[in-house]
Amino acid sequence: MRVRGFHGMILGAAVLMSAGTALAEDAAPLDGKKLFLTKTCVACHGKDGSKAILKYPNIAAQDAKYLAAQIKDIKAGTRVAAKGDDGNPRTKGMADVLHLVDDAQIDAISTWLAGLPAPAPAAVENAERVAQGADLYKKSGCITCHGPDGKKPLATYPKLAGAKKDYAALQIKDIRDGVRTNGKSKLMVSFAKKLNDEQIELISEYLGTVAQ
Amino acid sequence: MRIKTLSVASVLAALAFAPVALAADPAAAAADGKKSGWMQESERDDALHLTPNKDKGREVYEVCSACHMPNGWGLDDGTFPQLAGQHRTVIVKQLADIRAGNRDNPTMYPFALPSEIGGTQSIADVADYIAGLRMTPENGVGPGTDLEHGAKLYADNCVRCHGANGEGDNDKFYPRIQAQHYNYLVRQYQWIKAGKRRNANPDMVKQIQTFTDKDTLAVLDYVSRLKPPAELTAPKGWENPDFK
Repeated sequence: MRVRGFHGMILGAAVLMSAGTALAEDAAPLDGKKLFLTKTCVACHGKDGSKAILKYPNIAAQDAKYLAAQIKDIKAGTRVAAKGDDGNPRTKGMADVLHLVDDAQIDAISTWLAGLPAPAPAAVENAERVAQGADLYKKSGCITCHGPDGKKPLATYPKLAGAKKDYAALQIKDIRDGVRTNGKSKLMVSFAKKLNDEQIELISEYLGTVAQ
Repeated sequence: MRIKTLSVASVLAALAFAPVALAADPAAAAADGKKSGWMQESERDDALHLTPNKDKGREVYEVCSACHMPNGWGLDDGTFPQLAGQHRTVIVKQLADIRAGNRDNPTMYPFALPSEIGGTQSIADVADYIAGLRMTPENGVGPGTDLEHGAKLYADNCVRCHGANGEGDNDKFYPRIQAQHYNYLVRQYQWIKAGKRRNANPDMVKQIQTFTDKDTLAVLDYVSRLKPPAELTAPKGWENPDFK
């Protein structure tokens, strides 16, 4: 039976990994794409890192250094999150499997992801809200670090253009509330503290519609 | 695939670095605000009364295969358990319990949700498919240093429910534990003992309270080496033709 689409890709690579010997894994330890498919990343972040399930982020076309730092911080427990619907911190499901990759593999996966096409932005569902969000983005100082329209951030900072709105809102809230403190996020607290939940959601809705 | 064995020290060290501290007292863990119970409310009974469709189950399983592998053998380091050959009732119960919040599993939780795998019928279907998969001939085993002790503990404590050969009991929802990856057995066992696995059978929780770490690793090493019947086991390097 022919399996179509991305499942065919995971399964092809997974068969390679499981049927192979130590040699197959050793032969291609730094193949970022193969690692993405066989180390479980694809299950949550979707084909080509741009069809993430639920509120997990799309990670294709993100800054490579930023990605690698996030993965390593989640692995080390220095990046955490508020609780999700299952009562566990949202990062726990990922933290629990990151022993499957070492630093070199994380770097390879991040480099591969950074080189992929950006996911398509969300359609504008409410033009009024998106306009308010765009205005808030400008007025709240976000451009300082994340660039106009969230497209050209400072080095090692994340691009925000096209980010899934639910994910972006959760991150801004977590940073504002001191739940997420890794990397440079503490520098963002004073900016985020000026925003209430509704304003964060407006900014996030706007960002979700911006093409990279 | 090479069978990886682990020293007692490294397994205990791994447990020491377990992300969440284990409660010494099962009652304390349950008082965490979350409910405990062997047969909690879930879609379990509904799913078991539906007629399963193995073909649909194969389609559902594609999602699961990313972690549990196309052959259903999981990872021999125990990160993901072998599901192949597990009793249909056990798979249904675990999926329903994870979905209902009766069993905690942050990594697995999204993949028990209807949005990812479908409704009650999907649980019935995928369980039927998984139960029919043949098992790995080379699961992850323990260090092999205390098997005589492990055998005795198993005979005295575990046979009554899990069977003489770790075959479990489909009707009673007791899982097949033969040929399961050693590290996965250890992790689940520790959680059951500490009350963290909230959907465990309370008889088991009670039964293992006096086990030392040495006992635990010995009996589970023994279990990891129990072999299913030949007809339930795949040949070495078998690839699932459903996903080629």
